[in-house]
Amino acid sequence: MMTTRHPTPTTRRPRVPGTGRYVATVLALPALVVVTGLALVAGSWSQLPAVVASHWGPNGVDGTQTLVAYTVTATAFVVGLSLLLALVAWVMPGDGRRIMATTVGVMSGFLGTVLYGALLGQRGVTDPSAATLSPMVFVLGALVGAVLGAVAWMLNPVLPRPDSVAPAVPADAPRIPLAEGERLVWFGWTAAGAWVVWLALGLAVVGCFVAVVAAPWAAIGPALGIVLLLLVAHARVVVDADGLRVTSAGIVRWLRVPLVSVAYAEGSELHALREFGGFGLRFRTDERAFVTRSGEALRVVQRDGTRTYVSVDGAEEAAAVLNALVTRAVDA
Amino acid sequence: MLIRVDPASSLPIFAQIAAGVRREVLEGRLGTGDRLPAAKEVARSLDVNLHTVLRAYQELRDEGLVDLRRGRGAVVTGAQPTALVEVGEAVRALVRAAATAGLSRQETVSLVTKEWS
Repeated sequence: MMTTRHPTPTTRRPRVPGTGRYVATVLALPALVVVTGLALVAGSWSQLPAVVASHWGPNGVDGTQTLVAYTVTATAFVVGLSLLLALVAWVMPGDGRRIMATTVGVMSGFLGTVLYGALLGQRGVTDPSAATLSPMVFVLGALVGAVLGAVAWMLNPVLPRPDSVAPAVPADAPRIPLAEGERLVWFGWTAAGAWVVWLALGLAVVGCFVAVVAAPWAAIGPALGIVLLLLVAHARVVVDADGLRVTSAGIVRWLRVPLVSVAYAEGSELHALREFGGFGLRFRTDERAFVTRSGEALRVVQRDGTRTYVSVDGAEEAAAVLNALVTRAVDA
Repeated sequence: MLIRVDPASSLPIFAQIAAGVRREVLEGRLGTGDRLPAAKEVARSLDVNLHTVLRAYQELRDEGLVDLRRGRGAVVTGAQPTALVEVGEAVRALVRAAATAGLSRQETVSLVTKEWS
């Protein structure tokens, strides 16, 4: 079918703007969590038992460690995971880094609060097997994570990149005829296969199981997973005079490509696992995608050289609409 | 699903929107159970009044092409747009008659264009 691809722009800027701020964020936020946590632990050191509870199950404590080993493990866990996430994000383009910086903030804030909080909750305890883990630690962790995530989000705005592709739609690119003053909109759906239903059912079973075996609140994770899965699995694709946008349930906007930033568009093909390593919102160097399945996809090349992919039926027509709108905007 | 409106056309905008949906149904790109985009979204994208889109959807409902239900929006019923089906049949009859009379494609199109104006 329509897989004629125009040459991929190869002009790359030497350095992603905002790199210094990104590196500072992903290093400073976990460091802040660790330093604060260690300071609080050090201040309570004499009140903590030599052996502390390190793991809880449905029937209470089912694992212990020495105080030193727990402190070192907790610190290494927060630092290691933060650095790993930062490393993964290193090759990502601007908006991908913003999401990863936010993830590092949320993750380090939540994990650090829970791990150090679980330890500080054992002050004055003599028998580690009798130690309890308050649900408030998780609530506090979620709050700290949300605050640090918000800080990381604000510190890492998506910066505009210099244009490297001329806003000229190639002569052989699909383009629908457009009368002067005519308005048009193209609607499409991007939808995953039946595997989503099975996965959602699996998560529901897991949620029911942990709710019965552990505690009702433990089902929150699987429940959130189901909501996220259903949002990712079915999204509306719209092309109009504003450009391209992909939204779910009318409230979650996964992608937006303003018309002024589009160089041209074309029908294409993508392979979810081989090219993007999975489903949902995906990022690669200078590329991002919203993927629900392999196969037909809309490919949008932006003036700054980045490419956006959306797996959607009727991609060729969507590209023709986008190209017609871009051509009219450029000619105006 | 492509919807296009031309404010300069003599056809009212709601009729152009309805015609766009009819065309999608006739060409098989909208089938039974498919949901039309929310009227609010269509109005925003085409920069037209919300009531204009709602009027188009109501016209399609009156023709039996869509089912309007609160909370579910406009859902395609699977019925074929009668007016367009009739046009399709008339066009096929015209092509057969033109071929019988020995008219070329260009001559037939010229006759239609002349009649249209």
